[in-house]
Amino acid sequence: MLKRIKQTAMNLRPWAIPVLLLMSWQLFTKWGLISARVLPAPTEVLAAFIDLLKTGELIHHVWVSLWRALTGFAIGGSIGFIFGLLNGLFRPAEMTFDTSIQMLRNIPHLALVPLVILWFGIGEEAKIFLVAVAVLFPVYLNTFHGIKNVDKGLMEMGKTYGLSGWSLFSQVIFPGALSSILVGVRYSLGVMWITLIVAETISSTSGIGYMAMTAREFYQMNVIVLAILMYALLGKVSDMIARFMERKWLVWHPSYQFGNTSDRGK
Amino acid sequence: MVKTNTAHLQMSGIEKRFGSIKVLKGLDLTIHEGEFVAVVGKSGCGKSTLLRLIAGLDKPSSGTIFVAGEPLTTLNREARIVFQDGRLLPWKRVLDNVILGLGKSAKDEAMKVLEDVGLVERTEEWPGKLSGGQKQRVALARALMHKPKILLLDEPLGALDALTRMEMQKLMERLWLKHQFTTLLVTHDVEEAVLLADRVVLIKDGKIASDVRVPLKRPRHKNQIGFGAIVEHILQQILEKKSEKTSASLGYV
Repeated sequence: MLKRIKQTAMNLRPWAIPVLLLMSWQLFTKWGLISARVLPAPTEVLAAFIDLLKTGELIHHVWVSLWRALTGFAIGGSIGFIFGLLNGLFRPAEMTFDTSIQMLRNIPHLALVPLVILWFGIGEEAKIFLVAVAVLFPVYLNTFHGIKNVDKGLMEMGKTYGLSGWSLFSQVIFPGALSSILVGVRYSLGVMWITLIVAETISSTSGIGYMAMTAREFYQMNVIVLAILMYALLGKVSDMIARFMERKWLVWHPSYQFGNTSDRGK
Repeated sequence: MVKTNTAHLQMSGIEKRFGSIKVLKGLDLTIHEGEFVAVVGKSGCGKSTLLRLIAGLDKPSSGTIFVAGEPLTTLNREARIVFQDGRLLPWKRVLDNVILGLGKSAKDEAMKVLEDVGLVERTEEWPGKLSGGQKQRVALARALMHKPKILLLDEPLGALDALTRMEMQKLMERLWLKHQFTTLLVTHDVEEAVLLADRVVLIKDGKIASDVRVPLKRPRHKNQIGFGAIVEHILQQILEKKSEKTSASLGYV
């Protein structure tokens, strides 16, 4: 029994500091130690959350943001993945495309914002384009390097055991590159949200960023904080999805096994 | 062993260059069907290179390898190779590694072969969880599944501890006696070569420096009369400064 309590306490330990912070935040704002112009009380943020949930506004904005993020990710991720595969597998493709892609990669994609607004206006295309560009390069680089770094010994072994073409790709090359590809996916999911936040904050008529910017005009501190929390939550969810994929597809990998100590508390 | 006298593998004047370095310099070797030949030599002498040429993984710079009378131009389809590091696919379970290149219908057969190498209870394990010896058993099973006429062993026991080596040597001999494939074992361990092979071939300066027939009765052991003498004879030749081509058959046992 005592052991069990001890165990539970150990499991709750990582949450001690966040809970403590939240409680002192609430108390400090209630006592007026932190001005309401700086930070609203957590309870007010919660009130804004319930309000906006009731009116349906919150769901609408979150849905719009999510749709933009995923569409951009699907487009940019596929392009990056396809070029990564092509250039990793075929030397002539690498010779043709790799240098150009590496050059484009060095342009900071957020520097494109003014240009993109001129091209597409402030419609959906602008945001999706920016997300796609942001996501493309990490996926490309990691796919390309993943395939280039597949153990040559295993490829040779596969060939002597009768594999070639598709069977060699699906049984040796792709599984060998998968952990690297997933690193690219995980990284680009992070970049995806950051890009969308910037794009939505600068110019939009809906989405979480728009919600925050209109709240700023009316000085609704609680809604601004709520918007930030929504982005954080969505970021966390996409990271969890990426980790789920790693656990599912890399069960064989010594560094991704369940019960691995490096996984604890993440 | 009952052996037919047909040459299964025939090589004459084989040369292999890597850049400006000549590893094999006109090597001649004939191996008969069902024979167990061990290839020994100092590290870097080209013994693994020879095995890769026979497997068709590399092409000789000059000279031709004949497999059952046919010149070898692509991968050697009659041969399967077992590498020193096993080269199991870490993302496939043991059973799926063993049926690599064969399809699901080979599973029943694979279970039999895994039983033969003593791994039948680890079929659903990931290779990463196996010991070095177990990995090599899986690699052997995978090679056996293809029913090769020629089995090429590239220092398959090089990374194993002494006890596991002894077990694996017994296993390899048993499998060879059962399946009767022509076997080429590359090893740096002369005792291992004498323990298992019908002939021990020494490569030195890119050529066959000696070709020693081992007439000891099987199963052999290290205290057998004559065993030590053969080992000593081969070791002397490896360490000799000048290579003199000797083709000795030690008939005094």
